[in-house]
Order: sequence, then C-alpha cells, then structure tokens
Amino acid sequence: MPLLEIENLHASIGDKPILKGINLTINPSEIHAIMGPNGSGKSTLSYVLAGRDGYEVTDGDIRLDGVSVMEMEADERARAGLFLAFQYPVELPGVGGMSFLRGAVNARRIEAGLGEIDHIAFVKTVREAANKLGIKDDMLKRAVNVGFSGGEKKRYEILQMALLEPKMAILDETDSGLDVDALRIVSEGVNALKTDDIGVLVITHYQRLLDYIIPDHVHILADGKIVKSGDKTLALEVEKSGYGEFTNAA
Amino acid sequence: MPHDVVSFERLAADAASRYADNGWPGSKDEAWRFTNINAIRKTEFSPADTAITGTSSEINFIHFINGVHQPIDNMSFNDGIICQKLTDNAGLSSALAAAIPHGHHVADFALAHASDGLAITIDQVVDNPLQMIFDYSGDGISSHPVVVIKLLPGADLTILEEHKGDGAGLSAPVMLFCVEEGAKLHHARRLIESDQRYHLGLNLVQQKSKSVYSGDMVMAGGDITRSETQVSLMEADAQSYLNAVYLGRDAQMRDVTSRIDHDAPDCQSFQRIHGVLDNQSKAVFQGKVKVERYAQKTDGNQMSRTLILSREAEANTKPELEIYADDVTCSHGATIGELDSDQLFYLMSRGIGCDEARQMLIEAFLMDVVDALDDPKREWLIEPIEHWIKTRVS
Ligand SMILES: Nc1ncnc2c1ncn2[C@@H]1O[C@H](COP(=O)(O)OP(=O)(O)O)[C@@H](O)[C@H]1O
Ligand SMILES: [Mg+2]
Repeated sequence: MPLLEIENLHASIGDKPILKGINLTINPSEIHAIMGPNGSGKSTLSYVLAGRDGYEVTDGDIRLDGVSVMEMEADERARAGLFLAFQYPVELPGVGGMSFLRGAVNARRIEAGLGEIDHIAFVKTVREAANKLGIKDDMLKRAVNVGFSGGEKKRYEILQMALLEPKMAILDETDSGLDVDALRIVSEGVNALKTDDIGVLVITHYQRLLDYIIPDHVHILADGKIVKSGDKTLALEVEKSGYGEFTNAA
Repeated sequence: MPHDVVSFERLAADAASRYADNGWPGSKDEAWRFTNINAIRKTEFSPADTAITGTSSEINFIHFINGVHQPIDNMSFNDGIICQKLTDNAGLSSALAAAIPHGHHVADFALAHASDGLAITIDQVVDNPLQMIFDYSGDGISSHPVVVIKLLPGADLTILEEHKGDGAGLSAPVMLFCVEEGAKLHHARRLIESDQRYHLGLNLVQQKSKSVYSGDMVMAGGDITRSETQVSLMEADAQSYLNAVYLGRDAQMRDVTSRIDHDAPDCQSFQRIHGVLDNQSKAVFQGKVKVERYAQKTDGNQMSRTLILSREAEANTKPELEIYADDVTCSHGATIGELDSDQLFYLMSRGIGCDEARQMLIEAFLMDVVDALDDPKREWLIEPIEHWIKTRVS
C-alpha cells in the first residue's frame, strides 16, 4: 500500500488558489524530491499536508497509509506518523527545549498505548541523538529555537525528526541556510532514518541537497502544479537550465 | 520624616468620617474609570465578628480570619521579627496615618471598619520567610486587615502572602511596608479567593536609601479583584521591582494599579505585568510613574503584556509618565495580543494536542515573569498559575 497519496489537491489562501491539482504517490522507503521556483507553492503544499489552519482545501484528498487525513487536525496527523521539518522553524520563548521534546515524544507514545517515557532515559537518548547532529548540550537547555542560528534551527528540526520516528517525513528547504558541513550532517541524519518503510519528501530550491540525499523521484512544481517528473537526473537538468521553461509553460 | 503621633483609634475615626463624606469612588473617578464596582457599591457589607481565635504551632506564621488577626497563643517568630498590635505601636500607626493617600476611598473604607491591625518590626536579616495568610468566608461580610511592616536599616525579609476563601464578601486589606536604609524586602503575594469574592487592596511602600523592594504578585481569584500599589522612593539609590501576573475568566474584573513616585535621585523602578484574559473578562493595568525635578538619573521601566484568549475579553492599559527631571531613562510599553498561531501550529505539528499546546504557550508567557525568582517565592507563585492554567484553559 502507498504511504502517502496526494490526489488532485487544490488549496487556496483566502480567495487565491495556490495548489492547482497536485497528484503524488510515495511508497514506503522512497525518497521524492520536489523542486520549484520561489512562490510555486512548495511550502503551501507542506503546510496543507501537515494540517495547518488557514488553507482551504477546495478539492482532492490526502491519504496516509490509505486513510484520509483531511478531517484530522495537525496534531493527529503528527501522531499518525507525519513529520514536517519547517522551512522557518518557529521560536517558542519560555518553552524549554527538553519539555518540548518530551511532550512531543510522549504524545506519540500515549497514542500508541505506550506509557510516558522514562525521564532519565529520555535525556540520554536526546543527548546521543543531538551529539550525532552536532547539537551542543547547551542548546538543548534553551527555549525552543530561541537564539539559535539558522543552521542550528535546521539541525534541531532533524533532531525532532529522529526522536519522533515518523513514517513520512517532509523536509521543507532544510538545506537553506546550511553550510556544506551542516548540510552533510543533516543529510546523514535523514539518511540514517531511511529504514525500509519510511517515506521522505524533500522540498528544495537547489539541486545541492540532492547530492547528499539521493532521491528516487524528482518532481518540478510550478504555479501550484507538478509540471514534470523524472529520476534524479531531472534535478541536474534543472540545475543547468533553471526553472525558466517551466514557469513559462505554467 | 517626623510626623504627628496618631493612635490607631484616631486614624480609624478620621478615616470613618472621610468615608462618611466621600463613600465609594464614582464612575467619573479617573482611577476607577475601567473598574466597575457597582456590585460592591450596591452591597451593604457588615464588618466581620472580631471574636475569633485560632491556633497554630507554625513559626513565622500570621493568620487573619475575615480581616481579624488571630491572637494565637504561643505565636512564635524567628529572632528579628517583633510582632505587636497596631493599637500598641503609636510609631507605626502614625506612619500609616501619614502614608494614607489623600482622598483614597478604599483606604478610608477599610480603616474606618478595621478593629485593629498588626505592627511588625524587622530588625535584622531573617532567613525563614514570614507567612501571612488571610482567610475569608461568609456572604455580605467585609474584611479589612491592616498590617504595617517596618524593616530597620540592613534588615532582610521574605514575605509569602496569601488571600483565600469563599463567600460573596469583600476583602479590603491595607498594608504599609517601610523599607529603611539598605534593607531588602522580598514580597510574594497570591490572590486566590473564590469566584464570588471582591478584593480591593492597597499596598503602600516607602523606601529609604539603597533599599530594595521586590514585589511579585499573582492575581488569580475573585470576581472583582483590584490591587493598588504605591511606592515612594524617598531617598537615593533605592530599587523597586513590581511584577504582576493577572488571570481572568468568565465576567471577572482584574485591576492592577500602580503609582511610583521617584522623589530622590539615582533610584530605579521596574514593572512587569503579564495578564491572561479568557471569556468576557476585563482588565485594566494603570501605572503612573512620577519623577520629581530633583530625582535625576532615575531609571523607570514599565512593560505590560496581555494575552487575550477570547474575542470578548477586554484589556485596557493606561501608562502615565509624569517627568519633571531632565536626566532620566524612562520607558513604558504595552502589548495586547492573542496566542500566536505559528507557535500553536508548530507545537501541534509535533503531535501535541491543541489544549496542551495552548497551555504550554500560556505557561511560557506567564513564567517569563516568575521563572527567574528564587524559591520559596517562585514556588509560591507558580503553584496558583499552574492551577489556573490546568483548570481554566481548554
Ligand atoms: N499567508 C499567505 N497569504 C497570502 N498568500 C500567500 C501566503 N503564503 C503564501 N502565499 C502565496 O502563495 C504562493 C506560494 O507560496 P509558498 O508556498 O510559500 O511558495 P514556495 O515555498 O514555493 O516559495 C506565493 O504566491 C505566495 O505569495
Ligand atoms: Mg517555501
């Protein structure tokens, strides 16, 4: 069974249609990349998938594991195994990092009928995972994303992903704001997650990230529609010729 | 400053005649413009019975029931705390008489009806906190506890104060804190009376040179609850911190009023007020900072932030700066807003339910005021905040 099915998805912000009929199927263990010019609707797609308020889905369906998520709130979708790494992670002043991470992990565990995680064991798990991503202990103690650099915020997104063990991960421009070292570390984090049944949707503006996270399929999004799909060579093609031909076509 | 000797009896009699003349504040009274006290004005309250006795074996424990101090046998205090009746301490009753703001309706009402008060003198550093518990009960009863606390030069004290209880009654506490040279008063107050009660409190703070007053308050209970604090920075290099959290729901009214008089150079005052309002609750924060001509190098800061959880809730902020000195740093700011939808979505996208996410954000907003405090103040204030969030927010 496909992991994520996006079927004829139309979505608007206010009266303005942004997504204009998106079809995409992601099977377990596949990595898909969506590329597209700024303003083509990539972040909108990621938000609509994650269940953010303020978007009106005017047509179509989104199914996770064969079950429509259209009636599910963002938190239910997350507990069902969907994860979004934000293009712009949100600062939460006053919300301690550790209690945030624990709250998120416990929400999933309780849904799965497991008890709350042991406090001390959790701190250890978080430290180890953070260490692999080059996140310093001191960052874990701070309020969520407050005072983090752009790169630190992106690493922190990947840390959350590692701890939450999603079925389907969506990464919205995780590469932007990262230097080459950080890019490599973050990609290792993503690749480490790629067990047999996880699906990954990588959203990016540049081909660069795809040198580290090798996609099985590449799709070009322009003006709210997927205008071309192919294998990883499509990304290289776009890198060379730019998005011009697609935006003109759209 | 020397002042006339005024016995507590005369102070009460004077207040009674002023109250007979002036009564309650009217709606045209500027200080009460946003605070509708019709429900209080319409009620004929009777003062509480004075003959109640309680017992307690706790140290540094002061207990008032319906505004009347419990003459507890074996009351015991750490060294450095001297506790007397106000009727037996003409020095402190005179200080109170001199400190009562002219034409203050609530103070006059309270003093007119108070039977006695407490005069507490602190003459050294006291490590253990002084607990002051004010219990209220009964419908139609008004309670008027009066407390004067004087910290002698170099003294240091932590006060944990609580107002609680039920019944549709009125609490009108009047307190004066005299903080002498180099003394430090750490004062944590929680107002957690039940939903039918009215509370109109007046706190007067007088600070001498190099003294520190840090007052932190959580206002979580009562139907109409008002806390007014007036600080006089009388001598140089004094510091005053006034932090407050107010929490309102249903049709409750919250009023945090402050006035800080910078009457001497090189003093600092910092005020931080965070409020959360749900349902149709209303609040007013009015803070006046007055800097006299000779109070140069004054540093006066005031910041008010209100979180509105419902479209029908209403917050009014009225900052007032009156500055006659030219070399001062004074600032004020006020924000009123809703929960941030980006933050809410971020939490929910991690699987955290909507109610819990809201609670986390409200808690973070309020903790900002109390988190940096040391225990036992911190614990004293966090408890009612967390209780309110858990029971009131969904
Ligand atoms: N909150 C919003 N209100 C109105 N228009 C928006 C809003 N967010 C995005 N848009 C518009 O939707 C389109 C797609 O934006 P977005 O999904 O952020 O694109 P991308 O991530 O591909 O750069 C753009 O035209 C953008 O201006
Ligand atoms: Mg984007």
